[in-house]
Amino acid sequence: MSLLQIFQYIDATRSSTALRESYYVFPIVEGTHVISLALSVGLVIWFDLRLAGWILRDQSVSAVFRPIRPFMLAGFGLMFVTGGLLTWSLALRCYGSPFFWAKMIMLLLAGLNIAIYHFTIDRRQAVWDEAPIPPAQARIAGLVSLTLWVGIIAAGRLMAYFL
Amino acid sequence: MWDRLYPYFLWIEKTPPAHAIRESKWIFTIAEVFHLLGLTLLLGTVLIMALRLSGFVLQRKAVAGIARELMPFSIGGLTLALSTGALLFISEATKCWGNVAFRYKMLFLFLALLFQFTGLQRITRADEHRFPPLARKMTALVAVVLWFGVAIAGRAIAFF
Repeated sequence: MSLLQIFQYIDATRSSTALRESYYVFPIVEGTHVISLALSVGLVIWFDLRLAGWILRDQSVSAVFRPIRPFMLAGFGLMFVTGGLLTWSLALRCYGSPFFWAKMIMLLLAGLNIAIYHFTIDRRQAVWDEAPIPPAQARIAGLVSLTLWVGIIAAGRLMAYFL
Repeated sequence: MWDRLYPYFLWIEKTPPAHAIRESKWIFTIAEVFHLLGLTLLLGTVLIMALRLSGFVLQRKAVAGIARELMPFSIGGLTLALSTGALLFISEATKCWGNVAFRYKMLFLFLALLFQFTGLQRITRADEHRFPPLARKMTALVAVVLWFGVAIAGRAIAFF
């Protein structure tokens, strides 16, 4: 089964059509997807900026990250669920949109960035947790994350515009 | 009163810059992208401050200190959202005029801005123990409700 066939299959399902044509559900899902940006990206910014050593330097990295995490994760959870539903309902149009694929690639890179951070420099976080300016690798991880989220938001908005 | 504003909306829409935005294929789209980026940044600052005032995050740092560090980001996000919002607005002013969600958005925006620079600012700049926890939480809640009201009404403009 090719990628196109998968998207064609999804697009033809009854649930996809129902969501696409629903009068209230679709706008609510789409609205939630946009508004949850504040909770997901709007909160991850502060951790990224702290990692980059730009703000809250008198607070340890873990003191910034740990309490924000549950709210941030709730935001990203909402993002992925509503985003998944939107893709499901507009599968073929997503497939044909270069912005959709750009967004997916950047999301993948963001995930990769988190994984690399988590399995390398984050392992030694206890050593630099209190440092006003974290080591270069952590700073880069923060800035890469910020850049990718800006790109993901831009691609998402452009995608919706040209769908 | 809103009806009386129509000629002004029509006039704005006919100005050369408004015309240029409509003619261009990209200005409106790019403005929308930056409008959303500005909004995300602004709502992010509102949320983190609300979480701090409600006792969830950064409890070891003084509210006034956090407010000082957040200031460039909230002002930056606000400036970005307002300036791109103005571009979007002038290009289709009469459409906005007839849009009920747009009216709610402007109402929420007015209240949110007013509250941001009065009630919220008073709490964030005050000494930590001057206001009781409940007052601080309510202030945070009002700010979040007003700014999210702006965002939700803004998103709804496209649906009417």
